[in-house]
Formats: sequence, structure tokens, C-alpha cells
Amino acid sequence: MNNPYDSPPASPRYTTLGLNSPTLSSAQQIHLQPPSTPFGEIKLIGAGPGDPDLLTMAAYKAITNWADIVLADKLVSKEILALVKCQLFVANKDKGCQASGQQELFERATQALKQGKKVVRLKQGDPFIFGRGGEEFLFFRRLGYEATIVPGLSSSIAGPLLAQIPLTHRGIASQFLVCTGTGKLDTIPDMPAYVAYRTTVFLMALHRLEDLVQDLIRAGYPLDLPVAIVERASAKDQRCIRATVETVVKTLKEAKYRPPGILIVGWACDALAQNPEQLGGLTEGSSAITDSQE
Amino acid sequence: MVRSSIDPIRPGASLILAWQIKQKHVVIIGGGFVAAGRLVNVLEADAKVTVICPDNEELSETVRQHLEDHSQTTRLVPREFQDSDLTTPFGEHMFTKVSPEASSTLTQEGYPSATATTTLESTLSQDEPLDDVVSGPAVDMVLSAIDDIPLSTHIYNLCKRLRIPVNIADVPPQCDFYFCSTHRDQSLQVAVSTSGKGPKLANLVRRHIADHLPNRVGEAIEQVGILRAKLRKMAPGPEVGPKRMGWMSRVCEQWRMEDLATLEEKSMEIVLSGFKDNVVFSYDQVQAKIADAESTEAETEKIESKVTTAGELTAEHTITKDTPTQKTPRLVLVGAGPGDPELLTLKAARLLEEADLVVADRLIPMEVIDLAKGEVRIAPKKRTVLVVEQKSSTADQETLSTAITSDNIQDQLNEWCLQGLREGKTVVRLKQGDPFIFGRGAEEILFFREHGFDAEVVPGISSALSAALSANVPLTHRGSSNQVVITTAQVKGGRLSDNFPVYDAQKTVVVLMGVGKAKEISEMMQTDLGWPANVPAVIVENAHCANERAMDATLSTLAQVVEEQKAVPPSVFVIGWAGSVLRQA
Repeated sequence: MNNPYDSPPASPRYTTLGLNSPTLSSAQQIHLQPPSTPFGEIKLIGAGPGDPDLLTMAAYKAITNWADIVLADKLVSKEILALVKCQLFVANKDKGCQASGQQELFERATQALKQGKKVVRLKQGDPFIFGRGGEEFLFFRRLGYEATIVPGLSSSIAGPLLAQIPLTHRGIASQFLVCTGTGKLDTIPDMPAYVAYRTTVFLMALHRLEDLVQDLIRAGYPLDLPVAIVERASAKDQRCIRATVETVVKTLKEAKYRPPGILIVGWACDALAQNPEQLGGLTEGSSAITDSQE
Repeated sequence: MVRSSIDPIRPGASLILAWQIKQKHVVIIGGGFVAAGRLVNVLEADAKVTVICPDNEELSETVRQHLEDHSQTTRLVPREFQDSDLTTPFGEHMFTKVSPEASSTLTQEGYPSATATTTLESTLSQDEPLDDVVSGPAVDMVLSAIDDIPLSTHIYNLCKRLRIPVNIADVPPQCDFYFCSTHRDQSLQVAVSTSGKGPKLANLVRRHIADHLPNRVGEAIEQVGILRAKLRKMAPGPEVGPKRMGWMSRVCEQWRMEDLATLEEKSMEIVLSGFKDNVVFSYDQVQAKIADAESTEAETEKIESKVTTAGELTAEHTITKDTPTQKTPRLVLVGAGPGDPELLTLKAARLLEEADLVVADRLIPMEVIDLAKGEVRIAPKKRTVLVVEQKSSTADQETLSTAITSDNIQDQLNEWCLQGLREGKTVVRLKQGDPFIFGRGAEEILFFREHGFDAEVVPGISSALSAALSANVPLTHRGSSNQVVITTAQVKGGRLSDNFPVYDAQKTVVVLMGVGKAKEISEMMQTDLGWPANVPAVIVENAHCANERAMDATLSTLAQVVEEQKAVPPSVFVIGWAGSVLRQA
């Protein structure tokens, strides 16, 4: 029986090394594009939290071997960008330039695609988790290109792990929620309600930590609820700052915050804490990134 | 009259004994499949066995091989059964091949010959005299495993008259005893009896029990046996009997089975050294003492080797010096991602190559496992033996029994890792997805920490997140979703989790392990939590594997689509308006 929901096998999507078949994609897209035009390909790839070692094989092969041009965000780490052998463009998305930076990126991608190039759009973390990958996917679809999406390690997940914080832990947390601490146009997003068996990860929240903590308290989060901040997850200077809802503002001030960082709230923060000193203190370096790199 | 409360007698049971049949004579009639099983049972109990079966196709290859392998303790009488077989001691059967002279001498000596078949009465009278009781009966047990029912009945009647315990296969009324379904692990034997009522069920129960026995319990019993013997030798007097018993039971109580199983010469000595002061050293204390002793040994060895090999240090030397004791153990919990080897991280791939031992979850594809260069151990299959047989069982029971077995598997995997670490190996514990996302990774870290090993962790792509991506559903999307909740559908005991989030138009919910609960999830979210009926629900089955499927539904049609499309685990549900952003339905 023919199943209308059947998807093609997954692996070939990530097969790189020149095995991609332009004939197939042109056949699919022929109604959208005159056949004479050479046809490009685009992959939307998650670069993970920053450590090149945490790139997926698919991402590594795509940027070192497959792509003609790599278009990256500024947040993608220098170490990863250093792996790129082909043409590289890094979008300038500094405050105030976000919109124009994105615009320029789209233009370059369009141009390259029309020249029949293989384009990698490299995004920090995972493209579909607060990465606006969906918007870019739609943009390329409107142009007639169906992007291949390659997941990456989201720092919302890898960050806690690298700081030895399990987002789920039997008897402590059976679910987790990931949200942003900054809403559209810097408005305050709705605070998710306090649920004791949930771990909540806030991205893009630390620049307005004081307000956020007030929101947490108003939403019923207990004052002694453990909180952890993971800065520069997976980088050599990764740091984990531990506190409680009540003390986090003061602790972060004393520790002198270095962006980017994520905020983790919930009882699971302490699930693996070794000793009392570690609670409310600093842990330098990432536990997972140790000898193998040295 | 006052009666103390005693347990009531519940009649109708079998008396379960451990029959010491060692060196006794068992006669098996038949040579087929059933006979082969009986033969194994009695040979393992060190009996002497006579098999009576014509040497033709009736005699199975298995029986033949066992007979060959145990020529000292077995005899084949290659013909049909004769009544005299029940009165002939082991090794004194008349064979057709025996020379006429020998045959006549034997007959003269009064042993029954092949011709004496019909003279049962006379042979019986031979067995009756009291002085024969001293030497014991000629046959101690009879096991009939033939299809010939009249003959079976005849054998049964003969046995009754001769007072020989008998088992006629497949005829329960003609059995003095039944065979139990047994599990054996060295000296440990577990027998399950259903009093002849349900041998197949007995089998299933036995497998269930076997699956839940502590790891390496057989070895543990062996080692404890040796330890006891040593102790008895060390402190033989009956006056220390109570102290001996008390100390032994404390060792057994305080040590885990797996640790008892590792006892050997050296560690036993250390354990026994505590007896004098009535101290029971813990496993870790014993390990520490051994390590101390070894390191001082190694130190001196090192210095010596430096002196002797100075200037002529060859590659061979360095290799031998570096091996077992000097290597530092290393444990890394590695996320293997959702399945596609292309989605492994570079670090994970490298660690797989470097590891001396990889201990992997079961569902990780071979393409990933194949990257390992060292030893690989894969989790045993979960068995839901009891449930599979009883189709009427509810889903709850199924998950319950699965949960129990998965605990067992977890223990096994932990044990493998510990073993490797104690040998100084680099051990990679390869986990599906991400070790910390519903992966019990943190529990493992705590476990290994208790045993003195700190684990490193390498994140992996969790299918909880990437399944949605694979199906073209952005978990967050400007205007559609600004938060994502990942939750399991089931909590302990397979109940539906009650922690589903309340409706928020900007929220995407990823539900794991929901396939069996689609209907309840859909109802609960709509009626109790305010989710609209038409919110998109995408079912992603086998994400990132060759057989991946994505199915579109809405919250109200979720259960229907799951049923129609026959969605199977592992699947995730992605519920929320983000589901409609990119999917072209």
C-alpha cells in the first residue's frame, strides 16, 4: 500500500562529498526555474554551542568539503569559522544592524544560489530552536529552494549538560521548557507558570535579569529555587554560576557576567552538585571539554 | 482453648526437593527430543545413566553426542525396552555385541540376561531379600520418554511394583515427580513448578525470574563457597561456629552480588584478615588495600626497570610497562544523537575510535557502533516475556514490566562500565540522543561517582528536539511559538503524566512516549488544559532513521491518525501552531 506520509530515507539528505544530485533537484524545481539556469543548493546547518568538536559530522563535512560559500552568523565561534575552506561571509548583526545584516545575508545567498553554488547557512546552536531557521527556510522556499536542515546542538540543551545539570532527572524533573527572556522588540514575554517538576531554560535573558527575577517571583517561583547561569557553554572559558532565585542578581553582579549565557531555573540544577560550596559558587571550565583537547 | 496464630496449610502443592542423584542409576527409555532433555538434567546432577533405545533414527543426534561425551557415566542399550532393564544395575546390561562366552559367564553369574525378560517374578524375588537393600536397588529412577502409551503404562506399573520413582513423559497421572522448569547459574538453581499444570507457563515464569536475578549471582555463590571453605580451614573449631556463621552472613549482606563475584585469591585473603577482629571490610576498602599493595609493587618495579633498561629502552619495554595497572581509567558519557551517523558530533566519533570499551544502548544503529575500534558491549534486549504471552494484559502492565527490566539492563550496563574502569580502560558509555535528556545520564553519573569515578559528558542531539526539525517543524518561530516544552507522556507505572502544559498560543509541546496514550493526551489537552481542537499535531516516527515518517493531524484527530497510520514507538508528537508553518499539507 502506498503511504502518502512516507518520507524519503533520512541519511542521503546529509550525504555530502559531491554526491548530491543537481539533476534531481532541478527536476523537482523545473516549474519554478528556467532549465537553462544552473541550480544551487542550500543547507541550513546548526553549528552547535561553539566548540568545533561538537559539530555534527554532517556539519563538518558540509563546511569543509561540500560548500562553495558559507554564510554564518556572528555568534558562530571563531574556531568553527576557521574550519571553513571556501568563501565565507559573516553577517553583521550587532545591535541596530540586525535587520540589515540579515538582509545582506539573504541577498548573498540568493546570488550564490542563482549562480548554481552550494550554499551553507551556518547558524549558532540549532537552526529551529530560537534560531529563526523557520523564517529563513520560508524565504528560500519562496525563492524555489527547499533547504536541507541539519540539526545542531542547541546551547539550551548542551549548555546545562556541559555544566553537569540534567534538564530531566528521575524524581526531580520530568519535563523542561525552553523560552526566551526577551520578547519581540524587547518586550517582556509571558512568564511560564511555576511547575515544581519542570526545568526552565531562558535564552537571551541575562541582560534583563533583574526584571526577569521579579517576573519569576510574581509567577510563584520559590525564592530558594536553585538557579544556574552557564556562560560561554563549551568554550574554553565556560563558567557556571550557581545561585537561587533570591540571590542570583547579586551573585551574577559579583561574578561579572560575560555573555553569552543561559539561565537555568529548577530543582534539577542541584541534582549533581557535589558539595555545598559548589552551590552558589562558580565552576570554571567545562567538565566535558577537558583533556581531549589539550 | 487458645490457639497461637500459625500459617494455614494450603494443600495441593508439590514437595520441592533437591534430589541428590549423584552416582545413582537412572534409566531413560527413549532417545528423542524429550529423552535428550532428561539426559542433560540427570547428567548435570552427576547420575549414571542407561539409555534404552534402538540404535536407529529414533536415537537423536543430541543423545548420541552426550553418550559419546560421557562414556564413563552413560550406557546405551540399543534395543527396545525389556522388563529386566529395571532390575539390571548400571553397566551390567547384555549387549548383542558381547561374545558368546562372556554372555554365558554373565548368565551363569546370575545376572539377568536378554532372555530373562519374561521372568519378572523371579527377578523381583531377587531384589526382595533384605541383604540387597544394603547395596541399594539396581535402578534408582526411571524416566520414560516414548510415544508408545501401552508400553509406558506397562513401565509405570513395573516401577510401582519395584518401588522405583518414575516419570512418564506427558502422562501426569503416571508420574511420581515432575520436572521443574529450571534456571541454572553455576551452583544456583532455581526451579519453577506448576504441579504439572502448565509447563509452558512455568517456562515463562522461570525466564522472568532469571531476568530479574542479580547480576553474576552464580559467580557470587561460587566465590562465597570458596570463601566459606577457606574460613572453615582458618578457624575450624566448633566453638567459633556461631562467630563464623555470623561473620559470613554479614559479608553476604554487606557486599553486593557483583562485588562478591569478583572475589579472588588476593581479595579473599584481605576479606578473611578481618575475621580475627570480627570486622567485615567493604568492597571499596578491599579494592583500596589491593591498589595500595599494587602501587608500591609497581613503584619498585618501575625504579628497577629504569635502572636495568637505561639506555636500551625498546618499544617492547614501553608497551609492557604501560599496560594494565598504570593506565588511568576514564569514563565518558557520550550522546549518540538520534541515529543517523552523520549527526554524531566529531567528539563522539573520535571518542568511539579511542575507547577501549564501548557500552552502548540497544537502539543505536550499527553504522554508529561500527566506528568503535575497541570492545563493544550492547545492552541486552528488554524482555516482556509474561506480557507477550497474555494478550489481554493492559498497556499499563506492559510498561510496568518493561520498566522493571530496563532497571535490570541499566544495572548490567553500569556493571560493564565499572569492570572496564577497574581494568584502567577508557570506557565510552554511548547513549541514544543526549545523555541528559530523558536519558538517565545524571543517574549514571551519581552511580559512578559513588564508586569513585568521575564521568565526563558529551552532549548529543536529542531526538526530542530534532524529530520536529526533521519533519520541518520549527520548535520556535517568530509569531507562532516563543517557547517549547518537552515532556514525557508517561510517568512511573505507565500512567498518563499529569504535567501537560496549559494552552498558550505561543507554545510548542513535544510529547515523548505518547503513542499508546494518544487518545488520552488529546482529550486531556482539549478539555482540561484549554487547547483548541484544530491546533496542528505532527507525529514523527523513527526520526532521522531510514524509516522515518511524519504524519499530520490536529489535536482532535491525533488518536485517529495514530491508529489509521499505525504509528509505532519511537515517535514524538509535536503539538502547537508552529506545526503549520513549514509543512505543506
